[in-house]
Amino acid sequence: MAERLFSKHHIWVLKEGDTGILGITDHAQEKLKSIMFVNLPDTGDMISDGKRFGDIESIKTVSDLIAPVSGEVTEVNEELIDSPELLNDAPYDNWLIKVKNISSLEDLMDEETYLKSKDDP
Amino acid sequence: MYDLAIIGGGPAGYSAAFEAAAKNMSAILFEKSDLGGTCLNRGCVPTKYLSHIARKFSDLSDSGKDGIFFDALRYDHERSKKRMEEIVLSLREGLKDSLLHDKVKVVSKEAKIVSEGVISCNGEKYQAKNILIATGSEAAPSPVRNAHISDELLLINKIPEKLHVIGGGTIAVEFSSIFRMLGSEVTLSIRGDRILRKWDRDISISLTQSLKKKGIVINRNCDFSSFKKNESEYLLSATGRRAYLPDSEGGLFEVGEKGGIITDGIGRTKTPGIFAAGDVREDSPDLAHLAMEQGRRVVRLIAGEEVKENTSVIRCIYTDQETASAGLAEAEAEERGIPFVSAKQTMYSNARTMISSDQRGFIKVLAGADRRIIGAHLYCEHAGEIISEFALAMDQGITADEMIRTVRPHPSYSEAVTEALRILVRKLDEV
Ligand SMILES: Cc1cc2nc3c(=O)[nH]c(=O)nc-3n(C[C@H](O)[C@H](O)[C@H](O)COP(=O)(O)OP(=O)(O)OC[C@H]3O[C@@H](n4cnc5c(N)ncnc54)[C@H](O)[C@@H]3O)c2cc1C
Repeated sequence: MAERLFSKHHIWVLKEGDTGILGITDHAQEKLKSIMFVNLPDTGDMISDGKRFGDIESIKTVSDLIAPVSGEVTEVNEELIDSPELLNDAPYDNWLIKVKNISSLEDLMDEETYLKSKDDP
Repeated sequence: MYDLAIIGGGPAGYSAAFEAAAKNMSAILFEKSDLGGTCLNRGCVPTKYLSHIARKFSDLSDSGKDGIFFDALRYDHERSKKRMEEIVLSLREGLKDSLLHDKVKVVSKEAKIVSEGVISCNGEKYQAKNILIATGSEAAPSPVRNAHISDELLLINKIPEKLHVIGGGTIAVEFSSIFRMLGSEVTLSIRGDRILRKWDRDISISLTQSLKKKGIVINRNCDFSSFKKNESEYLLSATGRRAYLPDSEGGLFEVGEKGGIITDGIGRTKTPGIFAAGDVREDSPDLAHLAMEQGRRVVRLIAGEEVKENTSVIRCIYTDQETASAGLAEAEAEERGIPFVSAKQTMYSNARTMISSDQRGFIKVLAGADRRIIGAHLYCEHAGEIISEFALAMDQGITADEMIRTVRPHPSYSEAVTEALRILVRKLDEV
């Protein structure tokens, strides 16, 4: 099983073949506090590395979701639209989207590096 | 000889008549049915009354949290329908009086265009220097058999136990929401995979969620060719509108693919002296306030004034919490390659929202690279009122920095406008 990789925008990626599964990190959900709503792209949409692909509304704020890779959205976790709080409960079990033909993961960090870097400004 | 002959007494027609009177032009208006058109008699006014009482009923059903209790709460559709008719009648009488006061001649019969400058009605001929076609629209043909149209749903005396709505546009969504709140079991069936496809994506998703939370079942990707009507359901087809053309001598105007009259931005047809305004136009967005403005613009043009073609189009949806939109959506800006920055402020921290409702909501604003406002998408209480300040900003070329300078009252829903602008300005500074 591949290792979970992390972006500086607090997104995790799990690679399965040429498909990437994307979610938000535990650190992100903790900072956001109560998550109220998630806006995600549609299947068939293209996302691109470094660009916004949706947002998360929490009681506190709206946070843009920044794509850690480029590729085509093949699946959207519809369950989150009805129960966004799942992201607070278990951010690593509840993915956001699946993306195929993903671009390189080279710039992403392993968990240890991410945990060290996450509090940097 | 009249300066202007108007066919149709809906928003486009009567607004043109008032504008003509204000400019001292002589005007005659033909209306074959009720003054006020679709909007007043079968559209905006009756549906917004229903959405108002549906909201009231739903708020009262849920008032325990505010310490308000009832022994019994009951809804009587026959009674409210009577009130709806009273409202429509009183507005129609008011309209009739105003036209009379403005010396607009009203002929209550169907009119036909005989030739340039000549109209026949009820066996008589009328001459006019200019003719405005404002004959409106009717419900588009249904993709399924034995379905009712919205005109009919407004006439029923009892709320249907089960309502099945076909269509995913504004009218379909409004009726689904209204009748669900008044007690019907509601199913909404759409051809595509999302309701309100032409709207900002956040809005379409938000409304889907809110309809589902109310208990409305949404069937997506429906194939209506094999649709079978369930006898226990009231079936409503709300798949859009189709232009309603007047009887006319051939070749005076051109008709487009969608069946509407082709005009330029101001309303000129291919024949000089013949104009069209409102829902009958091929490019019509089927909105009453646009129909009114189009009617007035034609009159300004005839009066020899310079007419500005484009103002921002405001669209609203009157579900329990309102939705309103003006200018570009993000997807549209992307498609057209217009660089923009968008900011979204939710209503969770807005005091007025917390006081009055506990619904999720947001205000989303788009600005171009020159910091001018180019789009606004609102899903919040009174969105249909708040949107006008964004339309003003867009029409006047006001920037985010200028808009933010206005101090909005506390506690108000509009405070969220300031908050959204604050985020927008910060994001604009970052790029
Ligand atoms: C259910 C529903 C809800 C709606 N809600 C809203 C809303 O909330 N907000 C909004 O902006 N819009 C709403 N609309 C749309 C709005 O009603 C129309 O955009 C508006 O009525 C268009 O105005 P009009 O003057 O072009 O045409 P109409 O209002 O259709 O008026 C045309 C008039 O011309 C008359 N006529 C036609 N042919 C002839 C003839 N040959 N001779 C004489 N008279 C003739 C007709 O009898 C009619 O009275 C709604 C529509 C519906 C159906």
